[in-house]
Amino acid sequence: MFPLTPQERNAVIFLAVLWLAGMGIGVYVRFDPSFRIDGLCENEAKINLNTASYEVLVESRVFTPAAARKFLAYRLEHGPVADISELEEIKGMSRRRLERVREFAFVRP
Amino acid sequence: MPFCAVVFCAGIWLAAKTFLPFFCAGVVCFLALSGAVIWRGNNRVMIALFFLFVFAMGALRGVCARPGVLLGNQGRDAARLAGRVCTFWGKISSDPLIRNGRTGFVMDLSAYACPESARVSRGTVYMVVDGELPFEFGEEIAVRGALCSARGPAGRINRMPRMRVASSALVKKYGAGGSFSFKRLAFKLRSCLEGRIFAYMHGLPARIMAAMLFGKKYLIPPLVNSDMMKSGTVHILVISGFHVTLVACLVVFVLKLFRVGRRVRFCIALPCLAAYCLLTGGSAPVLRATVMSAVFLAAYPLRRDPDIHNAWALAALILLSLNPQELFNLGFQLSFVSVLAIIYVYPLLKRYTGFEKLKLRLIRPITEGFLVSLAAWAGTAGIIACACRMFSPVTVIANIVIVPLSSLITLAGFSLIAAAFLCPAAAPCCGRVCELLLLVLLKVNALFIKLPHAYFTW
Repeated sequence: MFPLTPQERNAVIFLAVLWLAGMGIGVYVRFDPSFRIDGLCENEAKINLNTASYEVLVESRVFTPAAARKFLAYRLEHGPVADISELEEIKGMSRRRLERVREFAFVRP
Repeated sequence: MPFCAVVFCAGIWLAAKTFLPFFCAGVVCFLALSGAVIWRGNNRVMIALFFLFVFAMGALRGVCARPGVLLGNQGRDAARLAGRVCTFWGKISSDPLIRNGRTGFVMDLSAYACPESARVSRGTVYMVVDGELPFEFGEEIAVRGALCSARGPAGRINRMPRMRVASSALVKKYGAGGSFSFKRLAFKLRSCLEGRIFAYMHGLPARIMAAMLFGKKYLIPPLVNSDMMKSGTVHILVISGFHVTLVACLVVFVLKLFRVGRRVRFCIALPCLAAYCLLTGGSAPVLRATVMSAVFLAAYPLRRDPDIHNAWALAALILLSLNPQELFNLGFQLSFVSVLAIIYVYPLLKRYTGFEKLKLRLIRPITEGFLVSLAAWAGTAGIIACACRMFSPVTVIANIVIVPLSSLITLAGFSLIAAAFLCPAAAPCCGRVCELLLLVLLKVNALFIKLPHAYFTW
């Protein structure tokens, strides 16, 4: 129908596959509304406060080294954290730091 | 020409590591050039004196850019005004960065006034203002506050004084607004294009896509950044030569669709590359790739054969002439050394491993990818070990998988932007696929760093 070069054909195929794949994901999301790709990505980018080691806490820049030590001491004393708001009890945990923790961490037993 | 670039770098390094006076470097420069002209009949002497001239030019340029060598009165003013509340007038000379409820930007000063005096001034100050300011690049503002101490940690004099402003009410706009500049236009274009990404993608995938396409690396969470560093694939999250090459290929391809002639295509692609370079902030890897791509694109209309060695050297000379301190920038070093390693080491690996004799067409791209990755890793492993205290053997294999995936993501990202303008009905589909590809990227990266002995830190 239209004389396409091999490169143009590849480009059309790429765009068609992109569109079809997007439609497929859209249909799947309609059947399973709990499936959120951005939510799954967020889990990869956040640390679990109940399992993270000192190195991971500092590396992720959620805590400074001193704050990480205080948090680990709190976790050792009180056990796994059920909710991030519990961290308000830790001395030196400012509101700004707590917001940062919410942004970069989650809690799971 | 590559040897010229290396000699120029040596001159800059010498100027940075010694207290070479400006006068000495200038005299050597002049004498070497004069000698080269006088002995132009004797090839060996002329070439030796020419390289001495290039070395002295590098040293001279390095001396001029050394912190503490004042071409204006910035250093003296900053030291004298530290801690005193003054009013500063100037222009915003960087794209304002809003993060954690604060706005940061670089300001080019034009004048200041403090209780004792008021005077015209020159220099740049890095401002951090509490609150989100609706200002743009190029706008003229007045700020009331006090400069931080001129000396940073360990008593070193900061190259750029900093100022922390506690309230956005202390920052006022004056003047009729910034004058026209290409950079301002590029930043506005970037905001517009970013808006399209955030309209059709959500959360973390949108931020990673904005970082991959427009260079906003601060949008990437620290954990993602450190995981990518462990696998040696963090270069895909920043604008690099790969993105510039992709933009060049896309522009040429789109123009080819409209049956535009080859020479015109390449001539149009050059300003497009320059615009993309401005748009993404013009970091060392982007500038390097833009100059190298420009050499290759310009070669065809000029009926010359492009040479990758000379293109590399020209890019290095241009970047270092503009800012010699880039030589000590990790991004600059990694960008240029990796390309140099690919240029020289990859052909050797190809010849001595015997992979070029493989007849299977399907395996060839994989083996070539492996060799390119190995060559780049071999060139940069030492620098990364010194700077980041990390050694990552998994880099070679991770790059074979992750680099093609990131190229797919980048293509999908550009398709999303094109769909957002040309066919909005298809844009949500592109957005979902981009999100899925980014999820796959993060999962694959996590798998690689979990392999035994994937990386070592100390």
